Amino acid sequence: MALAGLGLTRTFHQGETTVRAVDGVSLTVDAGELVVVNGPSGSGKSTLLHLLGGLDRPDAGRVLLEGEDLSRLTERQLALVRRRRIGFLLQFFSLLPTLTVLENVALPLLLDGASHARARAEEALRRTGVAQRRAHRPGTLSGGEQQRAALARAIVTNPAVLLADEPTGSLDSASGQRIFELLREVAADTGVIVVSHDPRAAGYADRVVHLADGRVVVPEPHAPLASSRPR
Amino acid sequence: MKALVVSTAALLRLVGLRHLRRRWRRTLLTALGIASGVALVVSVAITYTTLERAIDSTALGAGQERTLIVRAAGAPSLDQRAAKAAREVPGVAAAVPIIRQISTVRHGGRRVRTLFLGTSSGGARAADGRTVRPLTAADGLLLSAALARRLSAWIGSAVVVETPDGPAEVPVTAIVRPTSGTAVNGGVYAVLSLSLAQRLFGRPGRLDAIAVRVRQDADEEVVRGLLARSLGPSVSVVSSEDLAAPFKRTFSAIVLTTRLVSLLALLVAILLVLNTQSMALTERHREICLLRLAGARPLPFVLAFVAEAALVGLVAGAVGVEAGAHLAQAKLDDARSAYATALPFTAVGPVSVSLWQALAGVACGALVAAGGALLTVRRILAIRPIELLRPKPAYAIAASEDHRPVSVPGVVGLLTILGTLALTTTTAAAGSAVLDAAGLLAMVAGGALLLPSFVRTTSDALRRGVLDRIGPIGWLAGGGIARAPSRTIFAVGALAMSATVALASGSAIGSFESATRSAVEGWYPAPIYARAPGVGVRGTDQPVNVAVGRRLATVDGVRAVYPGRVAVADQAREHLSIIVLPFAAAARHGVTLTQDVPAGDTRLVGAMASGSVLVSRPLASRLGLSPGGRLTLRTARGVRRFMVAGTFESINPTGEIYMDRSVFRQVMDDDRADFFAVSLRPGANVDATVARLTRFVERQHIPLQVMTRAQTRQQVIGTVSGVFAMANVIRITALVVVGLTVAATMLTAMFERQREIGLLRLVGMSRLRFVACVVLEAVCLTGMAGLLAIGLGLGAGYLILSAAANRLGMHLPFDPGLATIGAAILYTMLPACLAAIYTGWRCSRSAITVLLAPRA
Repeated sequence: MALAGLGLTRTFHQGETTVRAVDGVSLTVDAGELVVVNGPSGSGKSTLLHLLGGLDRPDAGRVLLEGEDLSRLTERQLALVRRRRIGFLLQFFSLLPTLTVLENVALPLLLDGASHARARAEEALRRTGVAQRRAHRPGTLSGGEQQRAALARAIVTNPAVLLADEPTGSLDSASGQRIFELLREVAADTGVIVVSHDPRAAGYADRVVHLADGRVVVPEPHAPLASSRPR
Repeated sequence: MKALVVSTAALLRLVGLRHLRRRWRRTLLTALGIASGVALVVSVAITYTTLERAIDSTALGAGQERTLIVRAAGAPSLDQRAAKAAREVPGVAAAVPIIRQISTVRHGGRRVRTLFLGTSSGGARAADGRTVRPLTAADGLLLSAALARRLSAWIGSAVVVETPDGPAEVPVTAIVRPTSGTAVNGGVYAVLSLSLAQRLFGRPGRLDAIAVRVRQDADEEVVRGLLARSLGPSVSVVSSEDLAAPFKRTFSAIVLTTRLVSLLALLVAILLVLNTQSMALTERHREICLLRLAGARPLPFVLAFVAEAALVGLVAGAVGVEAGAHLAQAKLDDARSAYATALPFTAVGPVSVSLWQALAGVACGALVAAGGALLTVRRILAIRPIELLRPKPAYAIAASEDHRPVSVPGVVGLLTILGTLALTTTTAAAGSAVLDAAGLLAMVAGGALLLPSFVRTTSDALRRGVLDRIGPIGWLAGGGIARAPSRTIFAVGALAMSATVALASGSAIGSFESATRSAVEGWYPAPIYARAPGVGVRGTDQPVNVAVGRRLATVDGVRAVYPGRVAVADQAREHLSIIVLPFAAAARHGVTLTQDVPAGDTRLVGAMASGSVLVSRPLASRLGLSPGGRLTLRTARGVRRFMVAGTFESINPTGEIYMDRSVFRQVMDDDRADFFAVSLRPGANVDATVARLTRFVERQHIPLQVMTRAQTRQQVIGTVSGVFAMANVIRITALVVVGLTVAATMLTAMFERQREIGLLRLVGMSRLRFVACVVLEAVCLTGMAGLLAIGLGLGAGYLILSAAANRLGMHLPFDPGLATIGAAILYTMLPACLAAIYTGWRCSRSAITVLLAPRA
């Protein structure tokens, strides 16, 4: 099991109001599996993703990354986890504007002092199809190119899990489709969880989990790949 | 127009005011910075307005319109019969005889140095403006209400007055209420009958001056001429304005210096506002996008933004006016004491803020705030609703790196700075406050033009030479600096400007202070001094008879005693100090009495013994004198012309002349001494001789204070230190503005990068590394700023000092000192790094999800 969230609960207090954003949710993903989490706005999808990625701590429940309980880790250890074992892909192009595309992708490796960081970053860029833009600043790339560069960074460390939060939310149709295709490719040897409203997402998923009001409504069983999904 | 006003008001009410309340700490920080800047400007204005008013009202304790002052020329006092003769001159309405003495009065453990006005009964009525009751010869002292309060004395109290013959007990027989007009000596004075004053202060049959009121139907200049002819060549007749002019010139250098420093501080306050408004704009970016999406036009945003800032500025300005008044009152005594011997008063009374000054201060605050807000207008106008969907940095990212070392604006900026400095050193630019301020602004503008090239060059060099070699932290810090040029330029500019203020004020004031200390050391080279009572830089309140020196010479260990006198003379609108020392006699023993006339300079000493004088450079410059020229003085023997043997550098902006005592005795009827320089027999111990002299003067009831050279210098430096206390308070207040601006600059720089910070944390940068990266960036930014500030700050300091020196014809060496430079740079770097550490620590503690979330 690459990642397992067990009985996760997260409550927010806003003034006198208490909102249970995630309520006793359990979700697992294996290496080689792509899980889509969907649901209406405010259903707790992003909060669930934050909990699974160690960006937030649950009020109840545990998150196990390759068997290791993230809630027992210190902030320093969590930083290492984010650097080496979890990849993140956000809706709004999560690239540092002052670094080139290559530098953005190589950043986790450089922070780790890993060898051949730039070569590995180039390889990741080739994999996502934006190697030709490696020397450019993110501001000069199109939306699709930026998201592919961000994906390259998310996979450059060969993480155990990749978490994507509305990765196609600000992209055009063609770019969005390309992203899903790439995620599908990545999922061949990495566990991938995608939070998405995009109706196409389910077509690329091994499993779809539907959230409503912070709870799993109907966890769909492993579904065969739709015949309409392009390969 | 109405729609514009309505929408602006709505935005201000719904968005602006709420934001001010929500971000009250930031609002407070901004208001504090503006208030400090305004307080600085206001306190300087009030202090010098008050001092000028005191001079005008107290030039001779009369200070009324159409009043001429008759004084002795070449002698310390006039014959009393001159008053009767003055009354008989056509056109004279009244001639009031005056004894004017500054001395110390004691009562009940309290001690006040104050002004004593001795006058005839008719004079008391005139001086008051309303009759309390006529003075009689049997009267004691009439104390002003303020003096009575300070002494806790009342009618019937017996107070002790310091006189040349020792302390004298005098009863208080009345309390004088201040008139509704200007208050003499700040309302702190004592009036006594002429005869009592003559008796107490050793002037039997003599007067210090006669205040002559000119009739309304008479021509003042004609009356002046008639008086001079009637009273003879041994008197001088001057107007009140003539008397006040040299005193006003006395502190004009410090006024100029502090005003220029406060101008710089206000510019820094604008940067403070710009920083906080930038933060506000970043925070409200999404809000503005939404409102634009809903149909709001950009202009109301601009107006509301500026109005919001102006509102804070109005309140801050009002607070600044109040604080400035308190600051002025608190430091006024320091300023007054600093000019104790140069200015004719011992107290200045309470400060008062005129309505115009208050309104100007409030308006100043609003203008500074609005000015800072206006600098963000371009960003506001550039906001588009589409940005709701696509967050972008608050600062521009360069598409590619610009490696040009210099650009045309940079060259122009550098030439502007150098050209301004070159112009400053010429006398052509001297004497105009507007030009001085324009020169300072030109330097700042030159610095602004040079800034982008400078930042580009130094950040490139830093990155390649240092940062890229120290791992990912250095590489990230270097990338952040080099690739966000607008952000870097702004941060470096704000920090450099702040450091420039610190360095300019420190170097200018420090150089002046250094020159003063150096001068004081040169004035007192003898091992021991015996000084007459009173506070003074060189002169004293109550000089003693020169014969006292012969008695001092009988003390064991004393080889010779040289009397020194600082006499006052009038020359046109100049108030000259004639410093009289027996140079020739001392030179025969190889004794130097002042560094300005070395005993070894036989040519100079010989010339002075023959009747030549040495003239201070400021005076020579004003009168157009040079070696070989002639200086005209009124003496007791009539008008005399003295050959100018040379000039000397002086820090005293009023005129100074050195004259040999042998010459002085020939032309002046003044046998007094303010101090005695004591030379010792070979092998005599200084401290033991001081002790013997002290016992001697006490036994003999001689009112002299015996001190070593070091003690004398320290006492004199203490006297002038009030000037620098005032200037240092101003400098410290300016540094408050600087510190706030520096902190705000770094806070803004971090604030605008929250998303970037969140991304770094997201990809696994640890907190410690992140804080280290932030600190490294801050060190680089402040290092670059410090480098630029050294050039700009020293240049501005040199400009300020030169402007003051040029105006007064003085030579003030620019001597900032490494300590001053280091302190100024450190003062800027430290709050910047602390602010960066604080913000970095705060961001490292914030949840990554919060950092990455779109601003609400």
